[in-house]
Amino acid sequence: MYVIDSYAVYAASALSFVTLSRYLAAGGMTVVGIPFYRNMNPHWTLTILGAISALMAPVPFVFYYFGARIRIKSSYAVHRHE
Amino acid sequence: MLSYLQYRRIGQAVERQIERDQEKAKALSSYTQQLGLPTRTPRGAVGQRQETEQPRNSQASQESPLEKLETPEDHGLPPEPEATETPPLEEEIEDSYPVEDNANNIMVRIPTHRTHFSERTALGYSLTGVDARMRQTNESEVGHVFVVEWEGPEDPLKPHNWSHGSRIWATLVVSFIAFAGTAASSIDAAVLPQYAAYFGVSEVAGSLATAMYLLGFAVGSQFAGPFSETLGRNLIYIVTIAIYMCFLIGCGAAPNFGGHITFRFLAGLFASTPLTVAGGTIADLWNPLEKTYAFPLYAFIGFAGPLFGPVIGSYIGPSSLSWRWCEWLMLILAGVVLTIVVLGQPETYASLLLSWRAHHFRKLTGDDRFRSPLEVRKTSLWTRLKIALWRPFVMIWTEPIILLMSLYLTILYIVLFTFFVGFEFIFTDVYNVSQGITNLIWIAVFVGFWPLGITLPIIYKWTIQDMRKQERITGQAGLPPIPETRLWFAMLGGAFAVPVSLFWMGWTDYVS
Repeated sequence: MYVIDSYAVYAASALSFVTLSRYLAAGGMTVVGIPFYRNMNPHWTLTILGAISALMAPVPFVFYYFGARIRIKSSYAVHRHE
Repeated sequence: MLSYLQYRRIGQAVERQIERDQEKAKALSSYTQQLGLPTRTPRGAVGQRQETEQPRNSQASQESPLEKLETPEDHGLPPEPEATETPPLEEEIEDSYPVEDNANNIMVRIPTHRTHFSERTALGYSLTGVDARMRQTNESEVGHVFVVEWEGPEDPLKPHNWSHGSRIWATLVVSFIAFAGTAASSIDAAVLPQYAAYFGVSEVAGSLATAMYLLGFAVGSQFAGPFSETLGRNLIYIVTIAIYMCFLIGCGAAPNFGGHITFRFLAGLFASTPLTVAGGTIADLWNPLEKTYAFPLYAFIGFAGPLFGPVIGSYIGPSSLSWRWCEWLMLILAGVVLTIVVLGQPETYASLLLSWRAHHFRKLTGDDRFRSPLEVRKTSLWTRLKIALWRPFVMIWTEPIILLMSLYLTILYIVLFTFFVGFEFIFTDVYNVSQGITNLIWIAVFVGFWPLGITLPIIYKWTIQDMRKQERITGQAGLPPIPETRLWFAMLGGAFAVPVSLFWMGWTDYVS
């Protein structure tokens, strides 16, 4: 929803890229999943996945505080001149 | 079905509007006739008028003689661009028009081309929502065109003005389409052992059934947007769901492994369309503030799809039913959804509804110059398809927002989809739960959705407060909330919960 609101008119293009990347990755990982879980114990698999997602956890906060500035720099995003 | 009824209702509304506006125009010109002022043809002035904006005060001065004919739609209408030339509906009884100032004293102004108009023009003033413009058609004819818009901001046929119940119904239908499409993606993971054994392939290869479906999603989502913006939402839903069902039949009856995963890819290709178009439907129906609760409503059901897939398929594996029943169940679900869409889903795309309005105007007035905004658009479908295909890839290089958000969501989805195959290792191997129960554990993930519902009222309140703050800062009213308010959903716990829960799950997974 953040993407849709940020890009208003171009939301479709932005969203289609987001959708593309996330389903490509999901598709790939589904195949990778079994060897992943099998070779490393579920313990380590989940640890790795947890670490990666912990890296990404601050993302919403980054956007919250810096979002307006990022959008001003962009040529496609909406920004209000406050 | 419902769209057809909508189509007819629009026709009736247009008919009523034309009658109303004709009466209004008659009143205008009859008043001038009473005063016996000389008439003058405005024909020569048409070209000039096209370029000048009609002065707003001439509308204000119209209001007083029109008081008795004021219809509800005219109250508080913002001054809309008025047509300066009207279709030749009546004889050309040309009158000049005296102007009244606010004290109701009659001042007779010297008729200039700005204040003087005939009944035709009077009709043009009264035909609300029609705007005359110069357009160049594809055949390179330059001509006048009346661009049809809504009758006013309160037009009841405009999707934003529908009742709450209708809009929630339309949202629910769309979210069930999304549910049906996404449930099919994960249901095959529930029967993985049986499926792999049947075709004699390894389980890794068997997971291709899910993977190819998701890849089909990825590819198909790129194409859906421009189609729905030309042809309308309902047509897209109906056609793509129907084709999707055909490919599901192929999946269910596939005689070999290669055939099956090919059909899965094609099914995913056509199932992705409703997903992407659904976002458009939600935007059609709800204003930005209402989207705060409308979009979660859609997402709650729509994205519960991948979670319920394994639940639906959970006991198909161990039971005596063949794994093909996964596909047949999804086929039945898609059929039910298709029936609901055909019978009960209204068309929500505003531009298409305006096209129907223009079509009715054309039919009822016999004048071919009425056009909808869709029809005067300069870019063809093919051009827009091409733009839709390359623009996303251009945008990512310059847009950190898209890049980061897609990375974030990608990782979340990676985690989610490895779970499909991973639950087996986490639960079956360690705790010796049966295959059926393992897949039922997905309900737990759905339970994890519920805190979203609990935080929703709080976030809604915050969104309203934020909008009020925006109004104070910028001094304008009615602005949509800044995009960052949408992030609260993620910030309020989701972002933390994912890594925490992953670590938790990883290290408590012991037999003891």
